[in-house]
Amino acid sequence: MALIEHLDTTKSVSRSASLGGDEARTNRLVDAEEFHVSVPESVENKLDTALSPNRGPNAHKGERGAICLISESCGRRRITYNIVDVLMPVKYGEDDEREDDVQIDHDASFGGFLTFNDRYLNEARRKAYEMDGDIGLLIVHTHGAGASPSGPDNKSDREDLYATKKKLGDVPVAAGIHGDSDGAWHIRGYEFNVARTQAQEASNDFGIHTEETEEATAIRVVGDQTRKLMTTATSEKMGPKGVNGRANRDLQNSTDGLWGQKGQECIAGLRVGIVGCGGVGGILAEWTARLGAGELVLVDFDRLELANFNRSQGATRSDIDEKRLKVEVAARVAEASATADEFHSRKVIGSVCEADRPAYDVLPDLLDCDVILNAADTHWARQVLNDIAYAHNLHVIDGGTILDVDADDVLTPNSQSNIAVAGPKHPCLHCSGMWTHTGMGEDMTHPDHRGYVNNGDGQQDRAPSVISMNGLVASLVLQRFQAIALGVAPEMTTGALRYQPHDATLRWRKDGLDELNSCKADCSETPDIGIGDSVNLDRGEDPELTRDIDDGSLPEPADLPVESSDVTETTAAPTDTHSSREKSLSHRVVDFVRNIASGLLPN
Amino acid sequence: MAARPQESSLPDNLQRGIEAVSREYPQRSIEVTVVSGNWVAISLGIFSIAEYGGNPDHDEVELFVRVPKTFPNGNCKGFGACPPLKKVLQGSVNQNASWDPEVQSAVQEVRSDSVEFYSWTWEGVEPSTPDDLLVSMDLAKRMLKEA
Repeated sequence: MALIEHLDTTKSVSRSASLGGDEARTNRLVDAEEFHVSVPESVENKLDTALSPNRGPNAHKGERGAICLISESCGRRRITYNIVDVLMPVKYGEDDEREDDVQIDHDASFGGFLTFNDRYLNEARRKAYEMDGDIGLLIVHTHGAGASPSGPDNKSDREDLYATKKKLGDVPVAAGIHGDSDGAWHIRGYEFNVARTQAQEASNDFGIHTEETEEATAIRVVGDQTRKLMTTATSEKMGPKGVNGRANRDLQNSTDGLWGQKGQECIAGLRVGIVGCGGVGGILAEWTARLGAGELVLVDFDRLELANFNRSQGATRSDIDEKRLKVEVAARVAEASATADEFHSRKVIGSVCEADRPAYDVLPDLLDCDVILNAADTHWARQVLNDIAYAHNLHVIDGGTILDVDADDVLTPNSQSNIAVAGPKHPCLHCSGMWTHTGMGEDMTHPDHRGYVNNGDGQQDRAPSVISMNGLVASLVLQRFQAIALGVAPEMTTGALRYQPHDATLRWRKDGLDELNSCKADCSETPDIGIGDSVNLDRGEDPELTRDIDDGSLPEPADLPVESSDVTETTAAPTDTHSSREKSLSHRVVDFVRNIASGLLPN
Repeated sequence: MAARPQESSLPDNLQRGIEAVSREYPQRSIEVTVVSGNWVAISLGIFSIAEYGGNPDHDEVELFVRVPKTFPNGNCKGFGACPPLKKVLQGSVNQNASWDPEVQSAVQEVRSDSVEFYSWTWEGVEPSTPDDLLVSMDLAKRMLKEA
């Protein structure tokens, strides 16, 4: 108790400062457009035990409770509270005089209600304090019927969480209820203006009464697969903000016999990040939209050029002539191909490796995603995405190809396409052989000063690439996406897959004689799971981006509209179900222009 | 002890590595000389040439190690010398010199003297902790002997 009273509240820097000064990023829960919770499957199982009526420390109690340690991931629009661990409450024997950590108190109007004793709360605060980073608390308990908080719940939660913020600094705090009867979750995050000085104590602008709350609209469980669970605040078919989206049955009847309407609505409820919109990423943008994803976040800073044309999905000669940004073309193609009814795409100009120039920092946009597909073929990008996957509880599905021919122009065994998945319960991308320190160091060096062999005219040789291999990689990435999002192929979720075109073999990579289902014994490449924004990502100045900025070929991100202006029209005629869907003004303007172009209206 | 201005802006892992080297070699002046893009040149102090059987034109040389800001992640490669090293037998400038000219010129500007960086690698050493920066001292000495 004494220790807790003296915790150094200056340890926790203000969250806005910890975001590197990027003001565009959401950092206050109640200002965020979306609030989600994420949990690794292993931690979910632990919480399940803690809240179980039949086993664990709360067994045979009418209401059960536990305290979780949580971190925060601040996206552009979404804030996610990540459950890092569950601190199991202690239940003492009947002969023991000590008080159980979880108590049932009594109130004249409500009868029994659950509280946590001071020992348990302070132990949780101590654990949170001792962890690196801004770690706060989520206090959860069960209700017999439904997951709505009662009056005493609200009062005790508010008091416990305000005291936590006061002791630990500006850390995330939340309270949750799990309904026994319906299995529903209710999770609300709290913000307070915490009084830290005597003057603030005396001011009405500070104190427990300044409480503001926000309810989470989805819980992302990350294990072999990604599952999104509904909460009491989730509306049906609210898209990636919630759990499922609107799928157009007429456009997806070919998948009815595979995962059905429910699976299709699940895909429509996902926001998918695509990093790199070149040979593989351009295909992924179209195919993922066609598969039915609700939203794509497209990331790249490169422009199309003549040498890209032979493998740029959907690009036209005029795109090359105009040197259009790859994200512009990918977004255009995705929007024309989308099958989800309320599809959006977001164009993001920047690099995952970039931290020194906030305008090109894409991390906040990626933290808005439910799954990330990586098609950026650099070691450094893979290293950074790997750390994002573990720290922020996100699956990253990575694919790339190396092509090598001998003197007779025959593909050698060194030619290979690799597809791996990173994130909790998966081997990291380093163990999967997707990046090396040497390669990362080369990527961090200015392109003119790398150890690559130049082709004699001062230009680096372009790495061989062909659309046939890109299509294969994109297909395998997307099949693994289906396995992870829908559970349609459990054997496809975990491990590193390698295709070698010289002998047409597809194999799972091994760790010795065993399949690579987890990191190797000596792996030290992954950060702590779920630590959120507290992770130290190995980012800096992307030298490829520097070159484009120096060339003057890169627009300021503000000069490009970053998001499709409105709901994208699906490619088939609307059915009765959708004919009444209102179109916004901007959508009608687009239709009007299209109709003029096709001669349907007088010009 | 307060960190030097450039050091304090570096990631924690690299600061910890520099502290480890300074602790292990208190007689040497270990300091961040420049930060150039994603790379950092750290002075490992002054070395007596005679002790290592190198460069006949000078008695002493200051050596630098070039590491990524992301240390221990990323590829550690490159050591620098002020003044440049010369091979004892040939009396010529080493091959693979002027490696990473950006870092080299940045250090040269700070030292106001000739500096050369060489693509001397950390072959056989894969750093995984901040303390592994200690290896740079042995590698630098080896370069003086063998380069």
